[in-house]
Amino acid sequence: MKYVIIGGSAAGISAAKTIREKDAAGEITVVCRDEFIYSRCQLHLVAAGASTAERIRLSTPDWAGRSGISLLGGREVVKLDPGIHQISFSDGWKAPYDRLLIATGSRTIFPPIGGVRGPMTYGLRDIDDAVAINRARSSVRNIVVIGAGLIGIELAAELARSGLKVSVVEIADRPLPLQLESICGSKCAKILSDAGVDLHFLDPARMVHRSSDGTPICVELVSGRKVPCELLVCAAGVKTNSEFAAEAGVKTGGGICIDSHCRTSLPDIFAAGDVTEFVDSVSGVSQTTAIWPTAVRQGKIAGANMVGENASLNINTGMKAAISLLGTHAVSLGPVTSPDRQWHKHVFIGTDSQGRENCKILYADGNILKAALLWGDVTNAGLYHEAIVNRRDISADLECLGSFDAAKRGKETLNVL
Amino acid sequence: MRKKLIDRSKCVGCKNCELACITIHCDGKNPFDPNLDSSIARARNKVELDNGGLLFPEFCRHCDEPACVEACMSGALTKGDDGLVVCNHDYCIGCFMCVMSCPYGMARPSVKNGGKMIKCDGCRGRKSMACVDACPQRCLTEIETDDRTGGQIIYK
Repeated sequence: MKYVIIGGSAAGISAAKTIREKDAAGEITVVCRDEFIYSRCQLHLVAAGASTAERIRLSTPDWAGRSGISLLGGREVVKLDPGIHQISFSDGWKAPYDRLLIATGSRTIFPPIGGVRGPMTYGLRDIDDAVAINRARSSVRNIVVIGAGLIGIELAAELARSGLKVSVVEIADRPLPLQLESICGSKCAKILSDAGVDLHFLDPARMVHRSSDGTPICVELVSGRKVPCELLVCAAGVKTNSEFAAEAGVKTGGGICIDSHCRTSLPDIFAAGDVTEFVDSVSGVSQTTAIWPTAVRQGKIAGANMVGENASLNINTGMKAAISLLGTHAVSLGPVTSPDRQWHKHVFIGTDSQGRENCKILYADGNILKAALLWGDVTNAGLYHEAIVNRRDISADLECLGSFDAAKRGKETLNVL
Repeated sequence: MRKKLIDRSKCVGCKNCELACITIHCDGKNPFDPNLDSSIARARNKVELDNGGLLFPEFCRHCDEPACVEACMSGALTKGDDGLVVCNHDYCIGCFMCVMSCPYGMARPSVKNGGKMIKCDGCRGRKSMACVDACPQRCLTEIETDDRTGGQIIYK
């Protein structure tokens, strides 16, 4: 059996490992654009010089060889021909397959504003971006990051820590508008501004002014304000790398549509990870996601089914995020920023034994937990996750949380569920 | 593989298992003098009340399909050939996606700043398990079995 996997990150590698466990003799080829396998979630650390490409490497150089997997880097897909089960790559190589996995991830969208493309302007999706930002960093003083999502704020915080003047431009009214509601959004904004990051909310970028050599001078916002920068990073959204699949007749929406078995609309073609679109088991809505654990899980299920098993994602959700920002942690679970009007919002705020302010915001439909946001102490976040995906009755837990009178007792660890 | 047999009906909530766990992982002298200054001073187990008000000693299962390992984006968490799921603190950057993913709450964030995940290592490399040794009630006992599946914990 010939297995071809396109993409060498979370989903692709977990699929390759799963296939090897289940089919010792199968011929597995992983083709990817990157030259080595690395932790994509740590790119902001490399970009800010807090880590290195070598340190975020996820496998030893001989991993593929030892596992009997051909790992071919530096190649991109140009054409998929499902009729004859063949896929062609940028170097002219044409690979026949019996089972194909598409795990090509997504790429940066540069916002549609004047002057956005040019030198000293990057996204942050792969190691080349991170290395380029780190190199550019040493010759500049001011950096603008467009977008206050996960990538944007983690990068902004690290760059500020490295001593640069960083400004973040965001169209919404708070950082992490898809993960944090207003209370924790304010806390997050405070951490960033305390770290010296300039924040511009509700004021999107209108155009980028550049000097004669093309390098950025400043980003002009809709309000007219001009934010100086010599380096620009766009982290305001991504687009799935699914065009070649759509051209080949694979059903796509925002990404490649998959069912709970990670099958696409065409036989013998599977998809997993950020490139996919699926019905989220928490929201019930078809959506794309960019969450590492979700990609790994999908890769495992896809791998098992490529070998001929009948594995299914009983829970498939991308509505979760763990946030780590300059020593403060948060976990966002479920539709925290788009709750149903019927749900009750329970807010618990207290201080723990270390003097840290902890905040738990729970959205419940009656006694059923629908969404949760833990700020500060994230102990037991997995229990909240479990309660949400399994629609567990939490009446006893709410009573327990509510019985803490934080104001009267001064200190309380609100970690009971 | 040695496994931990738990008879929760014998638990009296003394939390000696928690103290012993902190002591052994943080170079404390003895359970009366644990090194609480260590950045990883936190028990890898816990005894809590369940919703029915009954004591429940909770430990890492060392799952067959560990959600923490699946969630780990740094490569710090791995399940070894010995069946134990352990964290290599040299690689952990404290993203806490494992904390978000463990359905038992046994992937724990360190309390002090510095941010490492903390979990049971099954006392790998030690001749016996610290929590079992410390249990005065024989609620926890160690058994030896050839079965490496089903995790490391058996609730009676």
